[in-house]
Amino acid sequence: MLKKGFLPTLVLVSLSLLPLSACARLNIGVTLHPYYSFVANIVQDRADIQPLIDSGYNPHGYSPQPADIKRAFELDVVVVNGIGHDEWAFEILQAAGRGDDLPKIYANNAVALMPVSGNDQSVNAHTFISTTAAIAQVYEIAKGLGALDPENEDFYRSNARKYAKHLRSIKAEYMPDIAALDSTNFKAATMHGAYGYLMQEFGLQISAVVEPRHGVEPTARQLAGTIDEINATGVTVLFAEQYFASKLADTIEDETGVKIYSFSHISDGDYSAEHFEVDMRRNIEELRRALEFSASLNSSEEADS
Amino acid sequence: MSTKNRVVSASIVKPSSSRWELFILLAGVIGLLAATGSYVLKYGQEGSTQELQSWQVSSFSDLSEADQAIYSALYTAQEDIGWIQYEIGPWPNITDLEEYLVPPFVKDISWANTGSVQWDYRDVVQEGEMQGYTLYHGNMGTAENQSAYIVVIGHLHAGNTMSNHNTIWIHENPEQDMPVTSKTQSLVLEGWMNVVPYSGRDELERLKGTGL
Repeated sequence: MLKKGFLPTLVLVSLSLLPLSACARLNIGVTLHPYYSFVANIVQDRADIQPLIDSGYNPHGYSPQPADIKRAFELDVVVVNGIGHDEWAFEILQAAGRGDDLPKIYANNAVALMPVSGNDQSVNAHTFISTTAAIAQVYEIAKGLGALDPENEDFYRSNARKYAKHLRSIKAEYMPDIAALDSTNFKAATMHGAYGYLMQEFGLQISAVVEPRHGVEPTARQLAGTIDEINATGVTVLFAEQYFASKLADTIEDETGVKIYSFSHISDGDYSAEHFEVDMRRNIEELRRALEFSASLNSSEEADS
Repeated sequence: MSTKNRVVSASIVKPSSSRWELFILLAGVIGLLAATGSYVLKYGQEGSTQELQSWQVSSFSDLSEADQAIYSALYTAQEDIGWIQYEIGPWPNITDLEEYLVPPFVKDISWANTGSVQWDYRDVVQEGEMQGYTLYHGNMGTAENQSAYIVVIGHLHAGNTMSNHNTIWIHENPEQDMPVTSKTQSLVLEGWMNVVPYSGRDELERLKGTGL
C-alpha cells in the first residue's frame, strides 16, 4: 500500500523532470516596443512577455534602474536589437548575473543592414522602423522561440507568417494613394537617422540627416552646415520626431522654409501587440501627406511656367 | 637702521614635486592614448569590414541606392519564397509573389521608384540528381546605376520544399538575360557578382567579437 503523500510527491518530481516547454510558459524579455508587438503576435496566449524597461523612457542612452535588474532574473529568453539600439539591455542582464546564461534572440541576425543616410560608414540600427526589415525580424524571432519551445514551434511559425502578411497588407493599403502622387522631386531630410529603412522600402531617399550621430544633437556649426545642405539640395520636407520634441526643427523650418512632418520612432507609449502596426500606419500616412505636399509644389511650378 | 649687516640670500625654489607631477601627467596621457587606441581598434571602424573575393560585392557599401533597396527586399523575400512554397506546393512564380505582396516583385510605388524591374523565374528540377534550384531574375530596370538581379534558391532535394542555400547576384548590365545555369563558375564568367550581405550577425560579431 502506498504511503499517504507519495502520489503527490511523485507527480511533483515527474513535473520537475519535464522539459520547460511541456510544463511552463516561456517568459520572454523584450527591449523595444516593436519587439513586444512582434513577440505578442507570434506567441499570442502561449507565452508571457516582459519588457526590460517600463514604458515612457527614451531608449536612446537609457540608464538601467534597479527594477529592471529584478525583472531580468525571471526571464527565460530575451529578444534584442543587438546592433546598437539596446546596449543598456546587456548592462541590465550583466548586473542581474544573466549575461551569459540567458538565451538571446538577436532579431537582426537575418536583416541586411544599411548605412545611416548621409553617412556611408555607420550602421543604421533602426531596422524596426520598416515593414520589410520588421518581417525579417519576425521570422528570426519565431525561429528562435520555436527552438526554445519545440511544442509550439509550428504555432509560432504559422503566426509569424500570418503577421507578416498582415503587415504587408497594411503597407499595400496606402500604395494606390501614394502611387498617384508625383514623387519625382521629393527631397526630404530627417532630424534623426532612423528612417532609412522606411524610406528605402518606398524607393525614396533621405537627402540629409540633422543629427550628426545617433541621439546626438548637432553643434551650431554642424547645424549651419545642414541648413546650407538643405538649401543647396532643394529639400522641401523635414521629418521631425513625434516623441522627442526638439526646437531644432523650428529653427530649420525658419531658416530653410521646409515643411515639417513627423515620424514615430515606435518607442514610446504602452507596450501592446498593436503598437507597431498603429505607429507604422501613422508613419506611412505621414509619408503620404509629405509626398502630397511635394507633389503640390510640382503642380504649382508647372502652373507658373 | 643700518643695512651693512643685513644678509640677503636668494634661492630658486622649485616645486618640490615637479618631476613627480610630470611623471603622473605623462602616465595619464599615455594611459589615455592607450585607452583611446584600444577603443578605436574595437569600435572605431564603423560598418562593414568584410573580406570579399574579386567576384563579390558588399550589400552595405558597394550598391547603388536602387540596388540596395532591391537587395534588401530580395534578402527578406528569400524567406517568404520558402514559406509560400510550403503553403502552395510548387515554388512560387512571379504572379504568386505579387499576390502575396512580396517586394520587390509586387508592382507598387516602391517598384516604380526603383526602376520598374521586370521579373521572371525558372524552376529547375534536375532529373536523376538530388539537387535542383529555382531562379528569380530581374532586368530592364531604369533607375540610376541600376543592375540586373538573380536570386538562386538551391533545393535540398530536387523539388523539395527545403532550401539549403540561397544566393543573390547582380550584373552591371541592367539588361542582362537570365543565366543558363546557376553554377557559381558560370555566373562569375558571365560577369555576375555575388552580393554578400552585411547582416545583424556580422555587426554583432564586429561589436562584441563573438560568434552567435
